[in-house]
Amino acid sequence: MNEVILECRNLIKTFDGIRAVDGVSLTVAPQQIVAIIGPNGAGKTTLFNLITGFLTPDAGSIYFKGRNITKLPPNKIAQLGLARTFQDLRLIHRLTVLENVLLARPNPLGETWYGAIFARWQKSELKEREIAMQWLQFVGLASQANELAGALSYGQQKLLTLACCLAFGADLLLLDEPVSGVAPATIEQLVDYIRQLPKMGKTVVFIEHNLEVVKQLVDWVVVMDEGKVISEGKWDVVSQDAKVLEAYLA
Amino acid sequence: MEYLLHIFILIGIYIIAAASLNLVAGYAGLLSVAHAAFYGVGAYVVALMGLKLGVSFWVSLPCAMLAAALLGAVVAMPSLRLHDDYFVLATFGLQVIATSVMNNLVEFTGGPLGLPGIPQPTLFGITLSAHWQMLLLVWMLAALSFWVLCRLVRAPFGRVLRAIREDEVFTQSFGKSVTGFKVKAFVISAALAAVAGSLHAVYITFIDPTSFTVQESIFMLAIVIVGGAGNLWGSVIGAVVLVALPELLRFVGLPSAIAANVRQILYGSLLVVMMLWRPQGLLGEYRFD
Repeated sequence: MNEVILECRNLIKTFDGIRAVDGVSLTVAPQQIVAIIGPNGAGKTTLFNLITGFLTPDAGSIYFKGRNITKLPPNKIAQLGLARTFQDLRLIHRLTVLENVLLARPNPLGETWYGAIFARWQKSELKEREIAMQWLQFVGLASQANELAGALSYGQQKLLTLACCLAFGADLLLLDEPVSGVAPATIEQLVDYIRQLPKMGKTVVFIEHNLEVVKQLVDWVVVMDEGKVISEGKWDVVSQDAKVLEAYLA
Repeated sequence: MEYLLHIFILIGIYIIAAASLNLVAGYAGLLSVAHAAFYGVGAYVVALMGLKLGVSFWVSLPCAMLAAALLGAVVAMPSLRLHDDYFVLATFGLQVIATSVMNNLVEFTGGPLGLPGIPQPTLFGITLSAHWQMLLLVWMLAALSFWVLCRLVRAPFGRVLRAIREDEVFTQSFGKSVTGFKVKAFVISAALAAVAGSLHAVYITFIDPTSFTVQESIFMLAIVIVGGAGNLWGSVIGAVVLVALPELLRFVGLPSAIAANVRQILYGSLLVVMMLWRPQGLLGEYRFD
């Protein structure tokens, strides 16, 4: 059994001469909840993009479940059991809530072209729908299953993206600002769901600016500023760290 | 009566062409103006195999589909690295090259003079030369093609295509190979376009490059757009409207000198009106913004 589910070694990513990610190393143990915090422009989302394969690092390497995923494309990395949400809340607005979750389901029957034409996918679709509905129930969106995703409120859309990650069956969830812009009642819901994930065998790494949420949820905090990790540890320690106070908290 | 049958045959052929284009343009959101190139490949393969090799339609048809599929695969891979306008331009390039090849490979394709006398299909010894026989053949193949496309779009495969149309990044983040899906949709669409082209060849029994130009691709795209991108039944309605409407003008009593031009004006105006009033087409779910 791995003691480490995700490891980044000395990642560097430069854009036009600016080091957005400047020698970041990170280790995440399974079933932890880890927060990455820091001011805007610290390189947090860039780090997520590097890990999930949407960007390739200029230097350094990334290991997921012991495998080197540094140069893999995003879909291959996802297939290894990694799901993410996006800072700009990506979703398929023109599909229904249920269809979005079904889309996230891995390799259903009928997804290949020959399966679609020749296989009896209708039956398996019914089972997939049941599973999708269970995840929608988990996040409290079951009654909106047949609405277009674009018609949901912002907070509900965030819940939907969480449901998609769970329906995908990911072992590691990278959530980019899961509660930003969301009403307090929905924040409570999201915190509650995220808190349950380690018991379900999942590991969560999330970027957040809402420090109340960070305090409530995390086992470990990583603080980034100007592309570097300036501090990491438990919340009580990090929140008192002078470097962190100067860069971000004060 | 023969005239009516002729219209229905044409509608059937265009339903196959438009519905298959709808798969890539309407469902996957890949605006291709190269559809007539695959349509033409189908026509030329069937014509040449029939004329030069004496091969039966029932053998040359799958060959035509395979040829178009291979061309589709070869073209798809580089083109699909491009997005939006650049992709459209790449397909435009392909289409122009295709027409040029048809015009210039004279020993092979007959060049601008075309290929006359294409043998008609035979079934149990009977040659399908009468209009009603051709109608049955066309509509059976149309029904079969439509069924295949329906299966594809209703299955998870179709859902992934629609997701790709809306947000490729989101789709990739859940493990789907976006390029893989696009290539497959493109190849299947090309193979079905070849079915339509093959039928064209054995119905008219004469083909020449002027039937397989960019204008023809745009006409097929117009059917998809007017009928509704992202809805297969839309391609049926679109084909009926765009094939039948200009024909109806014949009965309006226009002097034949201007009739052809008036049809063009009408068809162009119809497109403009649709884009202004209802860009998603009559039945569609997607608008090319």
